[in-house]
Amino acid sequence: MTLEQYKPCGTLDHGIGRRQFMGEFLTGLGAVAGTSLFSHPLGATEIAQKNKSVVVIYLNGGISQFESWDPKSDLETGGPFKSIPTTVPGIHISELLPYTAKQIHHMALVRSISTDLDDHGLANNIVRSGRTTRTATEYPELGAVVAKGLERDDFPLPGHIRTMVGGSGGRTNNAAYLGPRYASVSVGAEKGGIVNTQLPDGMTVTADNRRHDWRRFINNRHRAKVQSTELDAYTQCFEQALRLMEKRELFDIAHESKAIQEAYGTSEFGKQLLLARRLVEQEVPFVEISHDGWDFHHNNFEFHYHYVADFDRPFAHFVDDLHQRGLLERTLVIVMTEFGRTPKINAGYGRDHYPNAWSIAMAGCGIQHGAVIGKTDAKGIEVADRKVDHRHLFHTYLQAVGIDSSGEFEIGGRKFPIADPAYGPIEELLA
Amino acid sequence: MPTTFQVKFRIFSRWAVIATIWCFGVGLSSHSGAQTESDSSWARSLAERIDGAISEGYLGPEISRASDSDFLRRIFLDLVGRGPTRDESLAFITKVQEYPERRVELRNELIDDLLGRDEFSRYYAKVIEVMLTERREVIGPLEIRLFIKKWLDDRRPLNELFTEVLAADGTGQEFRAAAGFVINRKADANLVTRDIGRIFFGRDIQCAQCHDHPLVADYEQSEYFGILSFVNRTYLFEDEKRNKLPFLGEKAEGTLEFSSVFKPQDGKTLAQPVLPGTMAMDAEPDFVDTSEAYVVAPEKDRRAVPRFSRRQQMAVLATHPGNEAFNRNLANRLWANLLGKGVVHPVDMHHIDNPPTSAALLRVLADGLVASRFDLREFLRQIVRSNAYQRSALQPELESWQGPAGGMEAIDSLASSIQGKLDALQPPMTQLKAESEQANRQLQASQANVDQLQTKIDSERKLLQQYTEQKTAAAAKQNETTAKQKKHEEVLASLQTALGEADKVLKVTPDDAELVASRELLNKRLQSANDAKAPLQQSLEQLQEDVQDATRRVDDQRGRLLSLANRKLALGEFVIEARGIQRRIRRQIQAAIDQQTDYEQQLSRIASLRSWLELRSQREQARQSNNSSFLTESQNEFELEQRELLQSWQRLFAMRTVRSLSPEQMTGATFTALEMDKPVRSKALADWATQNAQNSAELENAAKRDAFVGAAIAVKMWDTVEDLMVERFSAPAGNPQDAFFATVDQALVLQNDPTYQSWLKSNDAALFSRLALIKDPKQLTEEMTWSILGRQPDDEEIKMVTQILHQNSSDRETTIRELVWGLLASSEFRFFM
Repeated sequence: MTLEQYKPCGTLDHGIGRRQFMGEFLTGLGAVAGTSLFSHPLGATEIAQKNKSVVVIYLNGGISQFESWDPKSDLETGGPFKSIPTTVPGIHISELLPYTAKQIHHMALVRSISTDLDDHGLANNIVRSGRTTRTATEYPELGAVVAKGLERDDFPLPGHIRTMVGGSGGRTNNAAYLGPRYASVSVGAEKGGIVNTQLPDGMTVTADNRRHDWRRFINNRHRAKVQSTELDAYTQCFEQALRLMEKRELFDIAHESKAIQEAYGTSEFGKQLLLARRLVEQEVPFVEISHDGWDFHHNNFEFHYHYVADFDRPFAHFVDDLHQRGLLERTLVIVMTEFGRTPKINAGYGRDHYPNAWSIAMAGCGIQHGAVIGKTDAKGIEVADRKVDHRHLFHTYLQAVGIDSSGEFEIGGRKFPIADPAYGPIEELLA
Repeated sequence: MPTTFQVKFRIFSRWAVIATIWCFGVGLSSHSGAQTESDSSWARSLAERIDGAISEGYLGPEISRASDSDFLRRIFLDLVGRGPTRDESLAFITKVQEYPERRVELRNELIDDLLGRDEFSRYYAKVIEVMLTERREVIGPLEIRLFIKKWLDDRRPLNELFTEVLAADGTGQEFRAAAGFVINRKADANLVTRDIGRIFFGRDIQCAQCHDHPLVADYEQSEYFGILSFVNRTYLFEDEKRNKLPFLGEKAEGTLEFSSVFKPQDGKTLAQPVLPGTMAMDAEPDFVDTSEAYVVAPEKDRRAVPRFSRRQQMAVLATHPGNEAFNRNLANRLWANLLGKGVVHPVDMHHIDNPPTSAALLRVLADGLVASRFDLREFLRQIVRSNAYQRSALQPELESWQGPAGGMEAIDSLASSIQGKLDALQPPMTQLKAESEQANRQLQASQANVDQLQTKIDSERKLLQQYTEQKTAAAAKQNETTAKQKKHEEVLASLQTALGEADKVLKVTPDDAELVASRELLNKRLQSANDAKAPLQQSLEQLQEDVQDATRRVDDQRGRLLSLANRKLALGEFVIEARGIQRRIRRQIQAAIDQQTDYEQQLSRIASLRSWLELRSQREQARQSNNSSFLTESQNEFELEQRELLQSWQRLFAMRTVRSLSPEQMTGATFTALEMDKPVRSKALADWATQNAQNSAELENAAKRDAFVGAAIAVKMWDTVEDLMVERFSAPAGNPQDAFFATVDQALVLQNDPTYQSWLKSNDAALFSRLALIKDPKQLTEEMTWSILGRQPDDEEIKMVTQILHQNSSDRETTIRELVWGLLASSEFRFFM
């Protein structure tokens, strides 16, 4: 980068210069993000459709499909809970989900998922990346792919957000070859949202611009000598910080009325859902909420009795709220987990990891409402019909929000398939 | 029967013998005390051996050593946790420029200087503390760091520090901090087990708690429970009388069983205390009754102290110089600190599917660590002297590289020769695996004998308890009856007396009918009392016999138990022998696997090089014949192959990579860059002079003075910069602390945090007062970059600073602050070459 390309600080077209920095930011061998390009040019309709959002509610640890989406009455495997009817005739889910049962007409269930990994870390990996691989290649997670696939040039917010309660935490390298731009940013749902988003006392915006331009100048000179993804991740986070500062208030749910806050409930889960709704309103492409602790190997029923209740009401309210605000038609909500739980009940009255036959649920845009894909046998041991896995699901999620999952990303001249090219979406699930 | 002391002695003496044999086996002669520069050639050869192991597997271009500036910043950050001051930088750089032919020597001198400083042990105490606690706190980091610093200052072997860390129970001023490892994890047996696996042996066996690790064949449930068995008797004791101050208590019993959640049909297995490295206790004493098993018996308000502590046994076995798993892990972690990645990476994933990128290198490092007797300074000295450490991290220019000597033919023939060697390894490996299985069976069989006997011992011990209770009951009865008899005698005596008195009275009044009747009554009572005498005596004698019988039964049972314990010890010898055989075979297998992985890695590197070379020559041909379409089409593939090739060389440590600063290094670097150390140093020196005004010997003691000044600087750093840096840049407590991450909150802090900003405005940051006096922009730029980045600025940078200063001449102070900030927030500051 030459001195001529660098806009001296304090000039009027500094704003343009800054964007130019980010666009020309990353050259050379590093596998990092450049501008996004599909292999075919975007039409006007495609641009319009890019205001879609994906919300993933990730139930960490493996929720039991028996105690949620695919209840069984079998004496040996079904457990003590019954099933209840829903707003869609013919669909029954566990009695532990009474509120969600009233939202099924916005939703679809997939009951015939069969994967082969019961280790948390590895199962997490494949479910999030939509690939099965044991090689060293790292694939980007769904959030990074959606953030890139639905990216818009002038969008001020991070495209890949993970909510948490309190503070702002670490970011993983979960965007792989897509680059740090698309890796998730953790955002707290309360207590002022994000700390340090105001300029220091006495510093003007002009002064702030000046110091950043000088910082970027030094960074570019450094980058000419040495490149690494870590370096880029570091310099990138300053740019993100600047954008976040501009949009401070968005991340604080205290800006919603008391009534609305109460409707979502005071649980950590409820608060994050409220934040997610706010983000979806702002057309953030991807938000993930983690609900931890589902990996119980003992006392399965007691545990699910409490935990599913904690999930049920806020989740149902969330879906309803999106619907009421007209957001559900451009939002895909996915209730994900990394595997199901065993039909066999173990000695501790628990269920263990079970990837052979499990379920997930979805709501919102791009899917057939009231659809149930596949089924398991009476005991819930094997998939009886329409076996699918994480690769099909990955394709399906992308298609549902208008991303052509059979396409490729072009990054620095190289082509990367967006999803596993040997698979396709679950056609009958798509609207 | 061996007393407890004898048993203990046996355990330690056995390992003392093995340790001696081991040391001889590794080829050590007797070195005593710390290594000095003039010591024999083996000291220098670790660096050479490191480079040798790497060049064995390397076919790429020769990479030159780092520039003096890059080396300077790197060595300071790595050894004392901060960048060089402006004066230190200029001193070194000008000297090397003046005597370029003495470069190697001057670098070595700098290394020795840094390793000898008080700053070194202060910094490395932090490094080791973070490695051990992963930032968990109950016993605070300052206390633990002081403990480690003293250890390093006293030049005690590093492995023995780790011994103390596991053995300490929190008592005793001197060793309390060492107990932080267990206490800070609340003595949670599963957490402690997992972290011992990770931090002491480099094995994350978390998933092996409920079942054999589903994917990692190496990590078995028996290994998890092997460690857990040493640890599960330990518990956290909070002393109510001292404000709930935490200590570690330990019970003298508690054995574990486990079963797999995947294979519940296999039933339960008895856990044997065994450590990775196949280290186990020789024997555990069998106490006849539990009261003998304790020095302090467990009570609600008393910390239990067993006579025989499993945890302390583990401490010795885990950190023994003969424990290969421990040595490899520690060597690997210390290497990773200096080179950015471990030879095995991640550093807590040593297993069969995650091999070292050079098993030969790992072996050299592990052996070197042992041979240096775990002298940290010596070990690090050798690493930083090697080419591997000193190489430049700039990416090499491959365009002009001719390729390996001898070209394609040479690498093809190398590949086939390696393949031949690889194939030749198969038969011996198969043989070894068979031997290993046999050894396992043998071990299991002898262990089963011992377990069987143990069950018998346990039931006999129960019986002893019964008999003891019976004896106590009988003795109680006897005592009761003896008391009864005594009472009886008293009654008899007083009746007798009463009768005598009655007779006296009757002599005087013989006709008192009532008195006569009373006298008869008394007589009657006396008669019956006399009658009762004999049977009472009889029953007493019977009871005495009962007690004797009971005592005899108890003694016999004790005897029985003792002989069973003896028998168990004898059977235990077979277990020890079988375990020794198992260990030997496993060592051989490990060596064969090391050989195998090195061949495999070498072949894969050759394949990678080969395809890159081929494609390159094809492209060259295309260039010459103007075939531009081929050039465009193959561009991506070529770049991909080149990147993979470079990565494989980096993982072999034939090339270095740029690294990020740890939170501790960020602290030191920021503090030093802003020259916040200067005012602290001045004040500390003044204080030192005042304190020792009357004592010139003390005054002149440079080592003590440096320690005093160093402590003052550390305190100031802790109070100002360290808190913020550690909070922002460290991973959450309890997680591995060696992975880089960049988050928005870090940027926000560096940009907007009031505390951070306050440092830039503070009088303590002596850099600013110095810069304010410099009028010439060129000189200003130089002073800034020397202080903050440790290098000379180039013309572009000087030009830019001049421009900025000129455009903002009205508020020079603020502008300089912005310039300094920009450098501190730059990637060049955050990373180092």
